Amino acid sequence: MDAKEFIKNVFYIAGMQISDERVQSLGAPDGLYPLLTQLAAGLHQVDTEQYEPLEKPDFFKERSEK
Amino acid sequence: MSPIRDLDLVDMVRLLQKGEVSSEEIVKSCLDAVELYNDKLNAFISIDPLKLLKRAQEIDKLPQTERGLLSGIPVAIKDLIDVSGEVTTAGSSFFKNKPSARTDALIVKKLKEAGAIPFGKTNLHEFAWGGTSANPHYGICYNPWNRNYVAGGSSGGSAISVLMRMAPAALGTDTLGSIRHPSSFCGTVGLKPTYGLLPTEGIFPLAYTLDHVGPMARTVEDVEYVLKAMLDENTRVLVENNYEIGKKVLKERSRRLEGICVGVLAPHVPKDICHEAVWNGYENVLKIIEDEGAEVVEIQFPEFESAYAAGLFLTLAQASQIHRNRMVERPEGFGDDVRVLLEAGYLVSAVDYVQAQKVRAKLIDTAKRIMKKTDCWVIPTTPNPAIAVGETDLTVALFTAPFCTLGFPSIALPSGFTNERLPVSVQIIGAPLDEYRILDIATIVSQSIAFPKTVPENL
Repeated sequence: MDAKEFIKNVFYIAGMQISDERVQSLGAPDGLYPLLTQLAAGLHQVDTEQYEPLEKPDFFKERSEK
Repeated sequence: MSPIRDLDLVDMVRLLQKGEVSSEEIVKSCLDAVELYNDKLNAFISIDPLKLLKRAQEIDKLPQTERGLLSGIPVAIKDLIDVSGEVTTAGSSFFKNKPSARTDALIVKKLKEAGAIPFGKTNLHEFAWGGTSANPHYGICYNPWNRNYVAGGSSGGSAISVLMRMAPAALGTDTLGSIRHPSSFCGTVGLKPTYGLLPTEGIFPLAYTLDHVGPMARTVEDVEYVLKAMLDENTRVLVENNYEIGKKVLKERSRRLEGICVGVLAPHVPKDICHEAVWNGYENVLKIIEDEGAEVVEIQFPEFESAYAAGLFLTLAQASQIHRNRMVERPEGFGDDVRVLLEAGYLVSAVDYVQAQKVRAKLIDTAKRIMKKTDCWVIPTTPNPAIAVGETDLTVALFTAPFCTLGFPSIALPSGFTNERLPVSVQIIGAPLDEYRILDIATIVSQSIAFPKTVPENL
């Protein structure tokens, strides 16, 4: 599946209308999709095995627990 | 004689307290600036002069004993933040005709309790989702230094309002850098506090888990004063106990930063992506810090670059969820740039999102460990000066977004000018709840930087 087909499928599953022109633009070499793919690759290289997902930090709680 | 609005906020407060000037005179003077400049710069979406003057007159009648830290002082409010009786447009066509807010956002409530006058609603990047404030519905926030450039975003109107003396201080919000970008582009000062220090209830969200609200003004002292006025008693004590003001920064000595250790994120700030003037300003600030006696050390922050990606992914996904129904029902109601970002949010997978949350947890741990060896870090605010109208700069949030992901406080302050007279800026970053330390250091740095105290000319 190429990038444009993938983008189209994502929007189809999400129940969103998107024109071919907009899909083309998102998936173009200078579009946002290739940039996000590149950033995601970097993000997944971080070893986070020991960490749980953090929704948001609570520095106040940490302070009061000290 | 220069108008009252030229005074810094702390001087206005002093004169108000001595009865040498009235709130009505200050409000009138600021309204004169709105009259002079707003049509050219689009700083405000809405402002009601009669209501503001009436409020100022009421405050002038109060005895000193019933006044707060900001009594009678106008503070401009970004139009993403609810002010009771006023419409919150969020810079969007969707909310143009919605009913007025019935209650104040918590932060506005705090400002009012301190006696401040919420002074109009400032223009912004549509839904705060962008770094230019070129708003298709309420006009482009033009840069007062040169109208061929934008003021930066998303709190562009707030930065313009303080620079042009339309208000001595303003509120902005910051999810990936939206207080600090316009502060950088306009040559003003903006503080993104520790995540959670100031309440965001009543502020239309861009990304629930990354949104911050903070003060913007022309000087570090003014930003510090407004912050202090907005903290409730418990939080103020917590932050003040964390760093007793003046304890470590030696205000009475000739070398006032002796004993301070400043970290530079050298490997993570590539010189080749920075504009020459940004780099020179950054180096000049480091020299000032060294001349004041601080030790400057290079720090290595493994995986620092992932803090940007994590913040971006979390924001993309959350913003697209927030606007999901609007995107289904009337996508053409969004400006082109925001619509593309909201579409891009659908391309962030659940797997990416969870990884972004885990990266956030890891990098906060790493950052805390590294920060323990230093008192603060210094980094440019934006790699480039203001963006030309009609252009975009994908690097704008590279140095600001990481500190939203981490939740560490960061203050942006002017560090100089380009040859074309556009401001450039640096950030000073501290540990969580260490606002007063970075404010102290920023005060000393700002005293050594020659930056004009007058409004930009040739508007």
